[in-house]
Amino acid sequence: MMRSGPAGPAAPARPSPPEAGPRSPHGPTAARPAPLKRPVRPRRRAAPAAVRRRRWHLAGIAALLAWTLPPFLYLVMLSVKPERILIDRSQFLFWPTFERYHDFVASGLGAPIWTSLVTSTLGSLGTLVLAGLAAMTFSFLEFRAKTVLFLLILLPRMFPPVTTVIPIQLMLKSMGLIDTKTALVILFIGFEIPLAIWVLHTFLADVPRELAESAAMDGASLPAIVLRILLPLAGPGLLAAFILCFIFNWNEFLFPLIVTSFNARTGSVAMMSFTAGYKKLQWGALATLGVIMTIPVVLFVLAFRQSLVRGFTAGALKG
Amino acid sequence: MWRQPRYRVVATALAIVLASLLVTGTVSQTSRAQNMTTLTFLGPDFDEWVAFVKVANEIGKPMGIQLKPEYLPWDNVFQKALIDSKSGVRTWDYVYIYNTWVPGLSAAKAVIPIDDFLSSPGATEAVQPKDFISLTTQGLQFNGKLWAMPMLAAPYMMGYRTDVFADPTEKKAFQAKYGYALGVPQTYKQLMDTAQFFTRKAGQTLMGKPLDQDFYGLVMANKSGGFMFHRFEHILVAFGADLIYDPKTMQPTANSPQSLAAVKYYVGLHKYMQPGTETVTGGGAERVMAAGRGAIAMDALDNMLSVLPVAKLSKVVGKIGYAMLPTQVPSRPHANVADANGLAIYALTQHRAEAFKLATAVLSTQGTKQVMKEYPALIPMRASVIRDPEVRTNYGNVFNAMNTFLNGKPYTAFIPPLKEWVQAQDLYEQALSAAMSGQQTPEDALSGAQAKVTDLFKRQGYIK
Amino acid sequence: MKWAALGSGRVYFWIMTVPAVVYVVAWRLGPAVYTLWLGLNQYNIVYDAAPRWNHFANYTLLLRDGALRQSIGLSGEFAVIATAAEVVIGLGAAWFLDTDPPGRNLLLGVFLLPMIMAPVVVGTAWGTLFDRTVGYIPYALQLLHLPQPQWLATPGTAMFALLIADAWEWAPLVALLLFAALQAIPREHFEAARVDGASGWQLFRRIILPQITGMILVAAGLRLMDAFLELDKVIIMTGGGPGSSTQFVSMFVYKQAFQFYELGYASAVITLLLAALGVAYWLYLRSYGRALGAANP
Repeated sequence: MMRSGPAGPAAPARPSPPEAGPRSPHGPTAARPAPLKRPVRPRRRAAPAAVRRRRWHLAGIAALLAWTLPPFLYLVMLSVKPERILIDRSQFLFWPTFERYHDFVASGLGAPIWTSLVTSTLGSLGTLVLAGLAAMTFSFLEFRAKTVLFLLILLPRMFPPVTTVIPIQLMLKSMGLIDTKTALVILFIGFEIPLAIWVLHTFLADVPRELAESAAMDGASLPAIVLRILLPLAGPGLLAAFILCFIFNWNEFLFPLIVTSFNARTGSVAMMSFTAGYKKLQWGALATLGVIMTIPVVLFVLAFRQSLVRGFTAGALKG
Repeated sequence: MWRQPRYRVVATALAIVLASLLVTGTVSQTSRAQNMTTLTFLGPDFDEWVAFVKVANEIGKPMGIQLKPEYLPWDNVFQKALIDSKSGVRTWDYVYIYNTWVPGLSAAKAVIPIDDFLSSPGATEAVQPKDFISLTTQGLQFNGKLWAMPMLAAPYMMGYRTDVFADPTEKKAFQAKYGYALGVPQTYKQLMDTAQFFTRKAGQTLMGKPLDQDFYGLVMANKSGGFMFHRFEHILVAFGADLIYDPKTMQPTANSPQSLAAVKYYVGLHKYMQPGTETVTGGGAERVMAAGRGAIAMDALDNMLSVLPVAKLSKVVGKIGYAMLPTQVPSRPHANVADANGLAIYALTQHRAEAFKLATAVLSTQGTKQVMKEYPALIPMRASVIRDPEVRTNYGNVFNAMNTFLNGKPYTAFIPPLKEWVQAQDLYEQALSAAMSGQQTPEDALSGAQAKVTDLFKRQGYIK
Repeated sequence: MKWAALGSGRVYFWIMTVPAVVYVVAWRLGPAVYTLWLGLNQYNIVYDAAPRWNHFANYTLLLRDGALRQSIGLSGEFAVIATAAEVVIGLGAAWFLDTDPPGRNLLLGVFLLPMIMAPVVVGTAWGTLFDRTVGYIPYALQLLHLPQPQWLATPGTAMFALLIADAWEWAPLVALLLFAALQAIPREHFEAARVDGASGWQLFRRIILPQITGMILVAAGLRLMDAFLELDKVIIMTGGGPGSSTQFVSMFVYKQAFQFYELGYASAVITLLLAALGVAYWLYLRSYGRALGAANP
């Protein structure tokens, strides 16, 4: 997924690419032949590059925020707007009501959210362990069937859950795991292994082969190479994969719905059920659902954004 | 990384939030007594079922029974009941059932019929099956058996703004324009006129006062995926057409003259509906009506009753009257297609006796009244409850509406228990949607639907 | 390192990869194979007690199914346009983030929000925004006295609404990938180019573009596949659209499986689609390798 180009040294903050403008006075201009005679038009002094750059930055930031935030802010607004004036679009100023949040929480969301949290985390960790080992071993081995193997790993991911639900339910029942957190963890681990392997593999593709090969020539065994050399380097990549897996597990709806009843209910199922009492399936309740479902993950990502960014940029490996 | 204070703050905040959620979550769960039988209920998180569960627990306590509900989104109830029963999961005792699900769940052996139990002597007295209003329970019968204990009837009716209809200015203007007195529409022609009359833009006047927002003649939910057809089917039946096919000959009649007339009518009526009608579901339409933006709403009575008279949700409390759907063809007065909701017994239940016992107690006259106290918009399917003086005084809304409905003896049809009904309905609804959005003429759209439904029936062997 | 060179290390290789492989086989490939098998059976999960073998009847039916053909066409159209939009927007955003604006990491975090939100929530938000009675987009047009299209009730504009929602949701993913690629370009190339007096545009065409072509292809490939199989937003926003104008292929499968309960037929459709996607993806992986080779001199 992230087969980036040849990695360069980690770049410190650098100036933006120059816009078309007067030539910079760098370089060996002396050696150039004299320019053709042209009437010199007095030019208005362009603003210094720093100010121009700052304006670009502000414009860009504004554009980015204007593109991303409005729908989310809209949901937040709807979730606290009193029901009676909900569809009066002209009313922007109102006294917010937190009743919907209260109703949601009072409907007993604590346990399901806890279940979601536990199963998503354990599931992601399990995925990382299995996928990590596999990816790290794949990544520096050359063998011909690689493309085919990737395909085999990716394709099942595309199967919609419609038909896979039944065999999985049957398997879990025969293992006696219906409606248990264990079942969820097992499923979550399995779901995201393909994605995690792909993410990690591309990330690790930039690890210089020489490191591994010299270690091998020094007689290190495979596990030693993987654990001592690759693992430390893969840190940010593992974190990035963990976050992605966590997000997908957290939002998973159909499988927890079918596989659990009471004991292992997840947050997503609980919240959807509460909102979907059809008379309640309304904008206020749905907006609240959206906000509650998203906030934990948002906080998570924002808190770990630096590592996330580093995890996705190959440059960090060369530090 | 962990040493940075920022992460600590976030982690602590998250931990506190989670801990508090966990505490509130567990505290809100009732403690389980040791020697109680626990029954489980699978159903949607609708107010009436929440009320049912609450009352069931009250009634069940002295019996040593408690009821644990599992609420899921409506569609998913069917799927879960189906898949669980197919894979041998034995968790459930009660399952919510909707009348169009009866053929499916009974064929899949996910639920068991209740006739045998009902006819046993002790049960008859408690349950009094004759008390069930047959009009509203027919939908829960299939292959000669009753598959669920009737709980909630949901007749489709009109809810209209009594203040708007009684306003003298409006009455005068209407008389002048259409030549007859303004009143609750009795025929579909009158409905069209009334809807047209009351569709106004912001700035025009209503009841003598200028409007600051658009006002709509009709407010309905027409989302593709079942809602649209569910609203339209009443009109289809009212115009004298079959519900997509003729059950006697199994011949599809999607483009019969009556069906075409109904579609053309609906396309014309569409002009006077609220603009977002193709994207809202039932509750959404009612919210628009409750905000005072429409003159007439056509919806299931319980939908309307749970929003329109509720002070917190509605700006038109006390201003809504209910009437039966209009008539088109004289032989089908106030035609409508009936819904029924009931409580079925899960096939793999481990507590059959207790389940029946509790259900009969809760759904008896006394029990139903208790449930109604919890949820006043419940429309009971028991005649004795409707006639009960206490109900009449305390639940005037329901009483009047249901009385109107029952005494008016409207023509009531039921969705046929056909295996391929959902597919046939889907094909018809697509055609209707194409006609409404102007993509196709009604004739073309319906011809297409007819061809596809015929193809479907041929494949399934109903016709040659 | 060559497989051959591993020697005794091979044992370890198996130990370390087998768990993952077993997992995938049991919980993903197994059910997938079940689906393939089911495609050769008649199985209505409600009315049929058990699957009934019917050879290729499902497939012959499938080939005659005009609705399916229409769905595939619509999905393809959606996938291509959505991916194109996301690549353009993502590239713009990535380029901007690469210029290192103040608070870049926070910006990136915020920009990722749409991707994190559950698809159900995204569909709801945008569905409500476009709703003609309660949504703000029609409201804004109304305030500005601009002509008011019927948004989700007209085929063209319904598709447009879905495209916007999809671009909003997934452009961040493309941006993230392209940002990674941009960050990996060695700075010396820039310096050297600037020294030679290259303009911004030339910089882009000659230096940046070749180096991120690989990643653009990766992102585009990923998005094409996922947009083709888009489901949640369609269900919530249009339910298949006016008539069947936004009935995407996944919606078709969903209806077959969860509304008509014809699991056999649905499985056949799924098999066909994934076979096609698999072939497309295999070709893409091969040519991607070549493109990458061409991009790196």
